[in-house]
Amino acid sequence: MATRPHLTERFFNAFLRLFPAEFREHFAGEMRAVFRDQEVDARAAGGTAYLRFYWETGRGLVVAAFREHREILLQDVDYALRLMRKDLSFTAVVVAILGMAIGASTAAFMAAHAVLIEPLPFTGGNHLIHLQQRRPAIGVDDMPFSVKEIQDYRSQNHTLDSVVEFHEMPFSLLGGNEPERVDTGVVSANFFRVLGVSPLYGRTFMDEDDQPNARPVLVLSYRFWQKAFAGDPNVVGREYSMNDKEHVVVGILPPIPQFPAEVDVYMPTVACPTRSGEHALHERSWHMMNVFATLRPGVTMAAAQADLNRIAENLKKTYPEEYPQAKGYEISLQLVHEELSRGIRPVLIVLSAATGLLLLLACANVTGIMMSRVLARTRELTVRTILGASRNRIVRSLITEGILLAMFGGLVGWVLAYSSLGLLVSFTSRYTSLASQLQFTPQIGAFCFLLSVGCGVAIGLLPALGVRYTPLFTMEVGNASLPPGRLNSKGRGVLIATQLALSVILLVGAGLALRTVMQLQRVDAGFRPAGLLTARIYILNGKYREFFGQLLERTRRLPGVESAGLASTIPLHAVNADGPVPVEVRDAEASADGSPKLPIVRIVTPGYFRTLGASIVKGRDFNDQDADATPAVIVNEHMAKHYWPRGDVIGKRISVTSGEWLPIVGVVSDIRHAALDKEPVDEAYGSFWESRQSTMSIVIRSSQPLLELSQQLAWIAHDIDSTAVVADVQPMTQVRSEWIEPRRTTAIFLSVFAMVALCITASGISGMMAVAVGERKHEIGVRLALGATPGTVIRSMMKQVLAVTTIGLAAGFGAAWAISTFMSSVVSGITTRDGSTFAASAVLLLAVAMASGFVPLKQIARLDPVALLKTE
Amino acid sequence: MAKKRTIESYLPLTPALFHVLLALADGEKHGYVISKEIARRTSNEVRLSTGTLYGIIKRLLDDEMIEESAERPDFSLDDQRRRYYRLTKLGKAVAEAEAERMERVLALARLKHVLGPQQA
Repeated sequence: MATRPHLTERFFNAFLRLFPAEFREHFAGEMRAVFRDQEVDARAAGGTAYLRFYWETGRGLVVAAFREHREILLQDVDYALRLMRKDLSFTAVVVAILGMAIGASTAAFMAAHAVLIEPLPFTGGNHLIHLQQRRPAIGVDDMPFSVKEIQDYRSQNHTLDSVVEFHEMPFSLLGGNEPERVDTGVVSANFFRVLGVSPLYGRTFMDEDDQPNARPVLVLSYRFWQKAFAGDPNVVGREYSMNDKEHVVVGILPPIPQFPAEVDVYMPTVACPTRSGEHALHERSWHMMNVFATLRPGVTMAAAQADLNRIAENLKKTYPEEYPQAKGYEISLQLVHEELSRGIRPVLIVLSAATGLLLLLACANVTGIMMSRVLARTRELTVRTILGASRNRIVRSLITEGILLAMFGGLVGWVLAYSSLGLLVSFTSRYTSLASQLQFTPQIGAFCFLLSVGCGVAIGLLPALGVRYTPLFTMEVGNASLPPGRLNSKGRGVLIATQLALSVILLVGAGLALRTVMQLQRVDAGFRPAGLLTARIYILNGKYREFFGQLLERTRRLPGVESAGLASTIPLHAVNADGPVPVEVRDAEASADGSPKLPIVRIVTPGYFRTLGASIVKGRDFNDQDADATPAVIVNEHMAKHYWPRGDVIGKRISVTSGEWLPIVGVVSDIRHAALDKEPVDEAYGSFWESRQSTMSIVIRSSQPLLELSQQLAWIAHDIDSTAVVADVQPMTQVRSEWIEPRRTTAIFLSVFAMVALCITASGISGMMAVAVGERKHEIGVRLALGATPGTVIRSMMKQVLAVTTIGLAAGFGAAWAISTFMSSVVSGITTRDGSTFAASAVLLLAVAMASGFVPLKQIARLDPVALLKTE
Repeated sequence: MAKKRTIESYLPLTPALFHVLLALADGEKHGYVISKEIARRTSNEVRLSTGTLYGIIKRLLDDEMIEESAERPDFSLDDQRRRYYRLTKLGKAVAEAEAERMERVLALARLKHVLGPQQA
């Protein structure tokens, strides 16, 4: 009976397993004997010699095993490099396919890492929260705070460390070459301290800057400093005029993602005329500010929420008129990081999934190529086996070859990902200010490296297993055309079906995204963008009515101008100055439904609707006589149908300001202001003559070139008021296409991936059939010699392509069906389960599969059966 | 075909590897005896653990500096798991070349008075 080995020997045996199998096979028995002898000596020596012996033995085994593996690795790498040099076209194809896929995946990871994973570059960035006041009963989710409310939350909370405020206002900065409209962030003095932002030059704000009568100061954003002052650090200390006051620049920010919005300059709250005005300071309903805070150490979101709920309840009790039950009042917390990445999250998820699929497809394709190559190398592998190489050794060398090829692919991918950085930043910056965090960091390099190693193992493993389980010795040396192992031929079929399935998913995804964009381009948004110029105009002095009246009159007189109008906000523009307003409706025929949405109230001048291309469907437009007449309103069709479904709307009254009932004089066709993929909502338009707007957007319909027109517009504006700012001058077609652009870019990305996938799959099918012809030459020769025509042989082999294609397509469409639901759930407005997209994808893939399968089969027609059989 | 290596290309040898060659210089031995002799001759200064010893033996076998001996002692005295190793011509030449190299280094050290004169 075999005796159970002693404990130390069992340890020794375990350590022996660290060695390569070949080494073990040769030396293990001998080593065990030496170990036992040495152990006896060590026991005899006694004392610490005993312990030292075990330590030295263990360490020696680990070091020696590592050396042996390193030795084998170096040999395998050397061998693989020689093979790669020998077959450069194979190497180039594999490296290119893997490089593209690894590069795309690395680029997607780079974006996802910067936006979704990387913490905000602020102190405690991941604990920075956004406070939001809500009026749930009337559908208001983010009501800004008033100064009074900020003071209440700041003084009564027990869970927040610092409470800071921010609001954005456009001002005119004078003192440069020409007046410049600057987006200004008005912030608490401790804003930058709370975020932990240190200035690049100068300083940020101090508490003294936010005291009444303090000297007005400005801090410049890095981007604005580069753009307006060409990065001149001497700008610190210079004075510029803003809001009729001299402001001194005290500091410049480093290039960080600006939060909560990209602005040009920052000023403390006392310097903002609106924020420091009587109304803002004393009226609880003067809602204007965004509020941010950091949690005290150890405080959870839930605890902070409970604490703020308590304050909200107190406010409701103390000021019942300000927080009426009918509108509801709640406070909620949002992590800023989540808020900043919300817009791009679905896009990044879709792109990451697409690159992941592309990578899988590339791996499946390259695995197929490697399997064919291993098959072609059967003779060489057999010789190696005869010369003493074990199966394990050959398997290992094939995996090393795979890893080496993938590492070269990874190198190409690295370069591709690095070069795509600029493109990625410009793409992500359309969605989030976190785009400026995008960098090629060591983590990205590590990801690229690990991905390459993973791909290498994947592409080397299957061909290696094919070798492991295929009886090499069944093949006589010198005869290279015996049938391949079943694992090899079945494996290649599975790989092709996998590639087809993955291609289907990518193709359907791209098709759906493209179709969505096409639909958006065709959407009737309620206006005609062609021939329309838009601009946003800001004025400083209080003579708004005179200024805009003159501007409109003189613009209309310009040659080629058909019409012109002004509006507080134009459709699809990034600046949306208008919001929902609580409107009371008199004599409504049908009350609003269960979840009433407040109408958006906009301000327009006469001629605006005509210029935009919208039509007055009932009643009349505003006219110049309205300036001196009773104030009136126009509503859109949506609102008219909502409240007066029978159409009796003209003359009905609504109240925008409490107590003032305005008659409805007209109904205008619906205009999609917010988004092309969002249905129209209730909108009410007030006359410009009744408002005091300092900022308006102009729309001009003209037959003359828009560039000339924009210059003339700027000239007129500055002629009327030299401090007026004319900004965002652009054709309406551009406004519309800029809105569609991010969706189009996503669709283009997906289409490129799908096309690459299609090409890779086509090459895979072609390769599979070329190998099949090579393998079955003998059989083909016999069949031809027995009277079969090349056509019959080709047809029977095409059946194989058809079978694999059918399986691949079926699996792919099943997955694509499920994925289309996923896509529509993460990307708003995407068309789902669109039959024509699925059908087009099926036809395209079937055609590509059959064509690429047929090409290598054409050579059958040229084969000479006699010559073939003679060779055999 | 691999290029034939010159004797010099193997030099310098690691101390452990040189000791193994020296241990085999006076006749064939198996692993345990090699390690025992090295420890004895160096007063335990050089102790080769099993892993290190067989790593060296494998390398010497691959480089054809040693070979397995086909002759085995009397069956009753022999452990069949043990293999006996002996120097090849190449192994002898490499060991000699290493010894000469070390001698030259020692001579240089004496010349520079880093070492005292050789004892008679």
